[in-house]
Amino acid sequence: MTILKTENLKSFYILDILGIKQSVMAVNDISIEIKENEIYGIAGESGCGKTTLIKTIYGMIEPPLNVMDGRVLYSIDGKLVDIFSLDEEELRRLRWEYVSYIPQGSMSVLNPVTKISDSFWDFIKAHSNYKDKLEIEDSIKEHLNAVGLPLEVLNAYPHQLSGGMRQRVTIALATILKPKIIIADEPSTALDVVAQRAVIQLLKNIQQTQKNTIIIVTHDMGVHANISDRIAMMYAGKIIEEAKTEEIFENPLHPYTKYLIRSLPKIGDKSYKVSVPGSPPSLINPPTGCKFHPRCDSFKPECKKIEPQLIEISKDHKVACLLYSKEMGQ
Amino acid sequence: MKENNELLRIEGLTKVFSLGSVFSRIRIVAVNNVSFGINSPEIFTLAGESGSGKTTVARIILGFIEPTRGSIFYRGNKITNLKDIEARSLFRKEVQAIFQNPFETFNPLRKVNEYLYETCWNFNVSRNRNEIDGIIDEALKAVGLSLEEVRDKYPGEFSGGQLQRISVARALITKPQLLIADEPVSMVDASLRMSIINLFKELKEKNNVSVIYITHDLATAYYVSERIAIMFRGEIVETGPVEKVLMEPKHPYTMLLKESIPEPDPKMKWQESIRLTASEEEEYLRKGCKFAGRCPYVMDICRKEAPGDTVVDGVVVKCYLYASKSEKTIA
Amino acid sequence: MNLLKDLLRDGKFKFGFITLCILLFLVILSFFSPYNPTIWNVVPRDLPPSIKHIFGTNSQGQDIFWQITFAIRNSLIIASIAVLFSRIIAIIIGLVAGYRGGRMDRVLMSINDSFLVLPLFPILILISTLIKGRLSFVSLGLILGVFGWSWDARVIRSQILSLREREFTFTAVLSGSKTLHLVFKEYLPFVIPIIFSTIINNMSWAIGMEITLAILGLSNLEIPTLGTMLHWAISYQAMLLGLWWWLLTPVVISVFLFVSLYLLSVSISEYLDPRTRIQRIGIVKE
Repeated sequence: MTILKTENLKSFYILDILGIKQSVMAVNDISIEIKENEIYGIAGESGCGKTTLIKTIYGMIEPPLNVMDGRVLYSIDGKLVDIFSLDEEELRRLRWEYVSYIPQGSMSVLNPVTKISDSFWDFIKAHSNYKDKLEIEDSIKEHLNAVGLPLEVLNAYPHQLSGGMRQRVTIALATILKPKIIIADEPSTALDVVAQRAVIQLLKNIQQTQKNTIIIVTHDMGVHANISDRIAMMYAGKIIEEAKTEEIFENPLHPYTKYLIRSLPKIGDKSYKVSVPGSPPSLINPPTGCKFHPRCDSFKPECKKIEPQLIEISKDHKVACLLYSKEMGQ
Repeated sequence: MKENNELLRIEGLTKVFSLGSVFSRIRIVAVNNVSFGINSPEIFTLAGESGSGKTTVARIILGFIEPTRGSIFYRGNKITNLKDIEARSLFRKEVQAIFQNPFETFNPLRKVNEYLYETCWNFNVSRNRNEIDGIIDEALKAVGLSLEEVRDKYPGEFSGGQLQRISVARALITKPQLLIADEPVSMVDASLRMSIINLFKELKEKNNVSVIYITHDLATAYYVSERIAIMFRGEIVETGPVEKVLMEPKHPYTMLLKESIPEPDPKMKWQESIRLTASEEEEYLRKGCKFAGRCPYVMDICRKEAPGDTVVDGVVVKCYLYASKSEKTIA
Repeated sequence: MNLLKDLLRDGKFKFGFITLCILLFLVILSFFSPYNPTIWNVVPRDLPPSIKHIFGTNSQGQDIFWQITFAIRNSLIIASIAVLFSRIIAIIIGLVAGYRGGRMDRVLMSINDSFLVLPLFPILILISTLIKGRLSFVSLGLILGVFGWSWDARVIRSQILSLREREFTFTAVLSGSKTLHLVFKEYLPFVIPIIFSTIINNMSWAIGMEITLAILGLSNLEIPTLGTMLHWAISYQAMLLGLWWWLLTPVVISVFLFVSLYLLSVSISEYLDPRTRIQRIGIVKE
């Protein structure tokens, strides 16, 4: 059952510096479908547009970001709703109850001068109808227990907690109202290895208990391997491959994905590894045709002219590459 | 026991930071009695999470911070508290460094090639304009770039990976013997990391340059280095050949680190849960073994007294678990 | 010049620049004045504005238009001296205290803070009362300069303190840079926008101070400046006598001067701000 989908979504940053207008094509014609009860991972290098994609999906459109084309649809009570057709108030109500967002560097989301318990309080009061103080307190404690956080954190100030603990508290805050979709943008990136594991595990537990959907964005393929059910690879504002996690790792099809998976070092493996050659493309003046063609070793002249579409090659495995569309007789 | 071609030796290095106000000061022992040696040539990893003290060790070696106690010997000569200007200059020429954040490494308002020129000029590598251009071009070519591509451009015009490579090129101009790389690829995209890591390998194999690779990423450490030291809260808890330490970790912290790495392999997902402490400060100020609060094998003595070094199976460990099994105990 | 073209794109700069140019034109005209500004009764008194006397004449028998050209010139000279003097002190103290730190920093900052908390106004009044008649405008400029550096020295120092911690400082040291070279080549580009915006603020402050002192009758009233013109207009009760042109001229000119300086200051410091400069770097090339 689809819970969220985008149709030909295009959102660009329109910059105007010293009278010269430029468009950063961060999300360039993306159509994806995300299901209920799954963890959907979005992977890609920095600057490929992943953060812009989820900001757009969440409806956080502020200048200089503009939605140029396409729709974002949520499935609410069985109906597909275009979120850009809703007004401010309706959108606000959706947030946190239906979909919650954990931004990058969310450790700074907690109010530094109030205790954690107050942050929870303010939050619940603002977003739900609980009136009874006792009820609210109970629900907070219950939730913390469910996610495995010690109740002592409630009495602490944010600066007294370690980075990892703060992040987990932020996640607890984001999930207390049991939203149907949780969007996490690089939730563990600034953390140490050990704290990272705890955070990712927390997200997994929440998903398994609440049976909701998590969209996790990170460039760390190891994290995806551990938590995502399906992965979408993003490159230069486009989705170039989408498949189940196992498929991506064992049978990557797009040349970029192949390079990437093969370049990841592992303990116990001293064999020679190679990076993807070249540099990430500019989103202002991207290459013509297939955006990866300047770095691709399977390059053919058509790749410069034709932009490959994302098509399904085998069950649940989509690729955007002329190598495969040729085979399909396109 | 000194080896013939020991390049760098650190002995008993300690650094204490005093934080707080006039009324309540806390002493944080950022680096506690750290000792190790680097051979020539060798790639040695200093691994640990943030707060382990690894960056502080690097800065002390480079002379940016004064140690509270301890000595550093370079090629047998003591360099801590070195007053002689010539000797310092020589040291800078032979020991170079690259840092974590490629976007901060260069002044955003200055052209990148100016740093390359300055390095050439200041260390007397050459004072002839044309020769300098040639030297810089060579250094850039060694990292996969060229003077043409880099000339007259500002840092904002390059990607993180390119900047990091330019940073390495700059460090190589003086033909150093030792390169200290502090988290060189953690801010570089995963798809570009290996090209920089492979550079280190090449440096060691072709140019006999030793590298101290500082990181929290054990996978790249395994790939690139021969020996590794694991740091936790200012102390080295395990040192040894990288195969032994990472494939058969002995210290409980090393075991925890290894388990926590998200393997890029969906078949190897994490199994059990782990505990986290709420306050890092707590761990710093703890008496006895600093890891006692989280250690699944903790014993009474661990909380009372800090363990000494024990040699087991070619690996040096700081843990009571091995104190009895030791081949040799170093107090 | 490219720089000017870039700056002129900003509406604020355009307005400020044009206004300032007009005012500077008036200053140049002062060299062609047919009247000596210190002599009275060279023209009929109290005449309203006409073609012969564009801004009218005052009760001392002087042509207001030509008076104002001298006034602007002298006010700007006093302010420029004050600013030059105070900038030099501020930069030296700020750079040294920021980079050296330790004892030197503490000593310099104590001196700095003492100047900061001095009740400036009473002291200026005291000084002016004591040397009133003999206060040439160079000395006035110097005095204002001596009191105008402390705020900015602190600002510059904090900028240096934060720059010292940035990674490129280490890179520069590893590249063999010596201290002086480091401070000038690496840090100055960051410090310049601050200096620039404070220059213009400082000018406004100095002009304001000069006007205030003059109105209170504490500076050399023989020299025509914006302040002294106002002083004479007020003491001759120009408003009551209906000689509005006498009062209005220096007031309006002062307002234009302040506004144009402000707009220039804001637009230039925005242009020089490292953050916007960095943004511009990639753009112009592509």
